[in-house]
Amino acid sequence: MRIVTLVVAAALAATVAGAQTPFSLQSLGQNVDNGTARDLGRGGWGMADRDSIAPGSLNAAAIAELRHAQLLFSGFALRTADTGPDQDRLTMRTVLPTVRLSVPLREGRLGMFAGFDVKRAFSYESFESNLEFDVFDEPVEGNETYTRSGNLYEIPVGLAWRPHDDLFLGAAFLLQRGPVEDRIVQFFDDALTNDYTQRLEFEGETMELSMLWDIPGPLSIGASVTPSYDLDVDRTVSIEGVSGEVESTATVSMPTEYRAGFLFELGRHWRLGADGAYAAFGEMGQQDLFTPAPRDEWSFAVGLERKLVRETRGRGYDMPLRVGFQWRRWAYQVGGSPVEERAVSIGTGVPFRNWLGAIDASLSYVWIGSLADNGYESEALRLGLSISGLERLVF
Amino acid sequence: MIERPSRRHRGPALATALVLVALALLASCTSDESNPVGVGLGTASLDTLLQEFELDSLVHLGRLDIENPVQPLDEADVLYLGERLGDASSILANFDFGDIATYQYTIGDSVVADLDFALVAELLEAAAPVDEIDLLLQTAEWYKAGHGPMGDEETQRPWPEIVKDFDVHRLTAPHDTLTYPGAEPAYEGADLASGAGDQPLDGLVELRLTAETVLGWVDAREELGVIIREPATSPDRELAGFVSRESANIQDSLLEQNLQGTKLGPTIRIELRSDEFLFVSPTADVSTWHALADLPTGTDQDIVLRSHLISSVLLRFDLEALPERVRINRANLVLHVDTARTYGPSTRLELSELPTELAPSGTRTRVIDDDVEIESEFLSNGILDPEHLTDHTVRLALTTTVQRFINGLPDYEVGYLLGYSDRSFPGTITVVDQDGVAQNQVNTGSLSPRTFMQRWTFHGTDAPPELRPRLEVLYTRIDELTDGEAR
Repeated sequence: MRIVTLVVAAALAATVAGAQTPFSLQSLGQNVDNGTARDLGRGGWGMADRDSIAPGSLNAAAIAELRHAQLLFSGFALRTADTGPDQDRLTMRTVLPTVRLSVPLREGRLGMFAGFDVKRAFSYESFESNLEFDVFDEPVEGNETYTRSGNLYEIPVGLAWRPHDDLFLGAAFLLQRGPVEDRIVQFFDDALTNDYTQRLEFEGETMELSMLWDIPGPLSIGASVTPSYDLDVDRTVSIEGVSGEVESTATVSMPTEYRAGFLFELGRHWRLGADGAYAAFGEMGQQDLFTPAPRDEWSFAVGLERKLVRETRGRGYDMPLRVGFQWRRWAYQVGGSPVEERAVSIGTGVPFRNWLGAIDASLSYVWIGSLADNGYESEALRLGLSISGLERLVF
Repeated sequence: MIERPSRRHRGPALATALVLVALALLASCTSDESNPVGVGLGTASLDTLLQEFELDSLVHLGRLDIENPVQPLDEADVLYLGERLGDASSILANFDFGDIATYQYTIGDSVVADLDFALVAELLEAAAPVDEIDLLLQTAEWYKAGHGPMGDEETQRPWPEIVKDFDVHRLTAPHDTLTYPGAEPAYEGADLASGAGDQPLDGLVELRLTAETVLGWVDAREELGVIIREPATSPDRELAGFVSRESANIQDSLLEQNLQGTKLGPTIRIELRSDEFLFVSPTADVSTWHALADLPTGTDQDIVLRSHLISSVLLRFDLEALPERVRINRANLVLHVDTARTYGPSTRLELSELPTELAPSGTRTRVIDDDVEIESEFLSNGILDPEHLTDHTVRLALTTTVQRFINGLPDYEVGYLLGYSDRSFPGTITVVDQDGVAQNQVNTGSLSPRTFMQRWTFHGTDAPPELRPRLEVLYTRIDELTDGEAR
């Protein structure tokens, strides 16, 4: 576990560059993938996976199989090239969106977990330099920096139960929180300035129910549902120098979200899997804070994995190999058209000694939006890294 | 013994290689600075930006005459003679020929000590007949002909050559310096001076006195006063400034370098021989300012400032018309100089915040200098040169005080005090042309606003619209803060 400690320390010390893609300036920001590098390497599926080294990364029900306490960290680095109508921008970013601790209460039958997941991120900054006005018959030039920062995160606390050898059930209480700030700073000639800030504090609660059925034979299936809920938003607007702030409240309705997936064993070494997710944002109608009205969000992931297999007569193993594809249509439109996100990935990993955890890595090529349809497009190279450490729990 | 990894053991190495390759790709550069990519996608925005708002009518104009009891007029550094735009002054000087301390005997550059009346009598007797006795005045540097304060002929009007005649009369009684400004005191009819100035003022003015009369004063050890007047026949009845007896420690700007160390104030010089002189210094001197033009107090009249005899104005615009809870990007008080009714050296005018109750509108209020009595808050300043040929507009910043008003502060009615400070005649004046390009710099020293007489006249609200005093405001608004409503 010493290596876990070192890597975690390095990850926590990583600088989070304030840049994602320009699409995160809109509405509810940008989705953050919470799967481990193992999941991302094979396209992002994992609802039907009951891996024993890094269990339950996407489907909490699988945590019931735990026989050791598990500490899971998953993060990634992004190198993103954004293209706008007239200019490009290259940004770098590191983020550690997922941390989770899982503990077996009854080995292989009952487990509990708690953690931290960044669900949506709002980090981008744009700069406009050609603001021009005529005031009192004199020209004034200036520039504007628009900075959005913050994230919407989730704290899950839940139980996973294995009532039957092949059936896993999970239930989690999810605390949703998030501070988001939109800031506009303008500088003009003669030291004229404007400094506008809008602060949003999101707060909400919901739950997630999940199941995983390891059907005898090569097929497993998994599913989860998160009922719709409301995010209460405290909004504060201020301009530097003006006494007092305007405070208001709003509600952002989050839809029921369904996730489902399957896993099919292809012989001794290979596995084929796929996940789908659907969030009915379209049913929520016009939101208080964001326009235009959102639309349903869909995502689909499919991929192949060559398993990590221990040699029965030696200390060696076959290195895992993962490939996959992911597609997502975001819940809001930019430039009058829906935003589509696609990714192709590869990945691999290595186990710790005595198979007490693993380090997994993935490399994805992601492209978001379309210059023709959305006015912007982004291409990202994403390096995922996750660590799952298993330890016997001693009380 | 080190065991070579088998093919089965290459997994970790390959995984590490994959990570390193990816890290190399990611680490090859850093983030670009933010740029126009993403402009227009932000969900927040400002509703109005740099909106113009203008007020050109005053709702308050009170006048503050600022006096300093420890520095009355007779301690001013400059004595004035002449008249300009309704302001007129003569010079008064008292001499005490019975006070040996006012005498000085010099041989060449040396001052002879231990002077007493016996020695004075001996010197006068030895030099008899003494017939070259002058009353000396030293022209203040700024008033010398063609001093060309800015030196730029295209934008700067050179100071004219002033040619004056002088009358010198004995007062019927020595004057009381503390009673001025005031009417000229009574004086005897005979003109004591001859050979009045026929050259442009350029340093030392020598007014030849009747020797017999002066020697009689010395002999009788009289205490008397004289008045130096400008007769109606004088070629240039322009105001001119002369160094007073109190100017011993002031800056070079009042004196020529080569006059340093000589006598200050109106001084009687008795020439004994070509390099031997007996000087008699005045015991008091003062400008009469027997005529002073009116200083208007109406909100629809001109805005007039005066230094030397300091009079400032307290202005107020009706800010209630401004929208509420807006960001004041810029607020300027804009004034236009009426150059035909303005005179004096370049000035740094200051704008301060003050309760209007200290100078009620339509009145003249006398207040005592300094900050103990007037706790004003400095807002801004601006340099203006009345001799500049093209730049006749001054803009003084009011941004912070207007923003405070928007924010509901302070809890009393605020006016803007337009006037002078100890920095009003600044150490360095930067001359700029009409395009704002610096042309020249002139070192004037830093002088009290009581030093130079100056009258600023700015067009009032009865002037054509483009010349009226006005408050120019630029603001930015968020409708959400104001509900889109004006105040």
